[in-house]
Amino acid sequence: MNGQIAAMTGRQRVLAALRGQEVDRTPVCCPTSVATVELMDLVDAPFPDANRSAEPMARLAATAHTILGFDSVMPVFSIIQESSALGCKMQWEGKDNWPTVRMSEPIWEGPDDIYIPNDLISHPDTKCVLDAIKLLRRELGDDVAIFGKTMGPWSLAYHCFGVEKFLLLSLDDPAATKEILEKLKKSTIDFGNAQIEAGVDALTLPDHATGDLVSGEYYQRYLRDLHIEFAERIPCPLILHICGRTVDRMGFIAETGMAAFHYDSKNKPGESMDTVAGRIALVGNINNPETLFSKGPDDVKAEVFANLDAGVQMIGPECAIPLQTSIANLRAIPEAVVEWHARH
Amino acid sequence: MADPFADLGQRIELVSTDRYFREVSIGLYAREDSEGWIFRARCFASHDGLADRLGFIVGAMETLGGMQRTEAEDTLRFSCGGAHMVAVRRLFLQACKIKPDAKPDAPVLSLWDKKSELTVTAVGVGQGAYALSAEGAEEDDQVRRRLGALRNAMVKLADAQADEAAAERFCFICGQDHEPLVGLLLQAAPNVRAVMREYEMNAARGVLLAPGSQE
Repeated sequence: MNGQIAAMTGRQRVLAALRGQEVDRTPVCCPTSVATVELMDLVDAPFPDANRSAEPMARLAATAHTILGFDSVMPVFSIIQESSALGCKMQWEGKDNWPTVRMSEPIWEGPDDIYIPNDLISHPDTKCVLDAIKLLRRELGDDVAIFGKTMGPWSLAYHCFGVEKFLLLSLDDPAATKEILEKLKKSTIDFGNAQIEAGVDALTLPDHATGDLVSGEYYQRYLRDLHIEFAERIPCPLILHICGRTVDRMGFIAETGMAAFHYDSKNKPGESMDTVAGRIALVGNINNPETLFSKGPDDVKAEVFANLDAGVQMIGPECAIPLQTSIANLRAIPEAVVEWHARH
Repeated sequence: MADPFADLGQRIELVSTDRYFREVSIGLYAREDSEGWIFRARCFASHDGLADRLGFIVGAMETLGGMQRTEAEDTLRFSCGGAHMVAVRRLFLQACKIKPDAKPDAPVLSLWDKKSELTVTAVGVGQGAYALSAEGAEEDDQVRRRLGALRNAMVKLADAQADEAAAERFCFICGQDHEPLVGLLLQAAPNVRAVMREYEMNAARGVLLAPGSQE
């Protein structure tokens, strides 16, 4: 522990790390989701209810703090709330699987079709998020950081136009691609600002320009300026989330003015810290499918230690954790952070 | 509030939605005490009737796998005290699949093998060793190959040792007999690939993919 700093609450710890300030110990947080099927049972908040109704959503989100000991909670488990409000065809699935957008049935053909409905933030699938945030703030007070989530325009374009079609368009018609992103950014900003009004401390902004499909040059061409604009127009700390190998774009991401980047285990902690060079905080990297889901607490702790040794500012899973992840493995994350600080 | 996850040990298997009781998630937890490995079926929901459902599953594991209940209602162990982690996972999954209004039967040590069109039997030869034989068949190369394949499947399903000297024999590492367990796993042996696929599909379920990786 840092003996020079007075003990902090989880919220103070997370906010300080997001501002680049000193902390009493490294915060543990997951900017995406830490819902599991066992936690759903424990608080009687199964999917899909917990994705569509504020009370179970808030109950399940709170377990990240009350049961797992994380410093943050995140009620938006999925990546599809706004897409539902935009009119995408949804597959809500059952308790043990993620809701998805039926991207094989896109709702729009081109930029002219884009219409952000007036009820974007009063639609039941977005309003439940705002109501859950208010419930969490009332229930947890200032002890824990409350994260919200607003999807970036690249991810929304996948949902509304279909992945393949949108990627081909980005090759064939850069002007139309930019027009789409420009129009969709209203959803990102409006839903983000509504969550700030509801009481979040920070917002995760997933924008899936992922390492396997999109190059770093693409990120610079299409998204960097938009992300700078988000950092300017959404008045709270933003945590950008992009899956996959992203070291080739971390330098650009570090220039956006966002507070943190939620990074994947395909990037090594040391090389990632070297690339961002203190211009943005990092969070994440604990591998989901192989480590958190399939291995044991000691393996989880080893990955936590590797991140702490590299100086990563916030510790957590790389993405939304698998719904069948064991509680013991998730609890190993805060335990490892405390152990590491006791030794340093 | 007491920590519901304390002292459970390691979760080794999970049925994420029980098809027979309100889609609850039921885990099989394992820990070692002075007498060996102890297993517990656990669910964190609080619905009325849940204790009966867990009791049924534990009872089915007793019948299907020859496990013994300990003093606690919802915990079991093998008579040898061994872990048999691979086999007990299969046993638990199988116990959860039995309809609550059905009475599980102790598995028999033989099966009708469609592929060879023979009845294959497992015979205990002592100290945890078993030999597979084909009833009423002449021991030609084809039969020997089939018995060898089924033996290899049993080795995989039971995490047992293959007898290098005899292609149709395998042995539990604990050196003790486990007849009901052998009977249960023998029924799955011809479809060992399907069993392994089931494990893989369970592992893939519940993992959120980036939109670009979704179908």
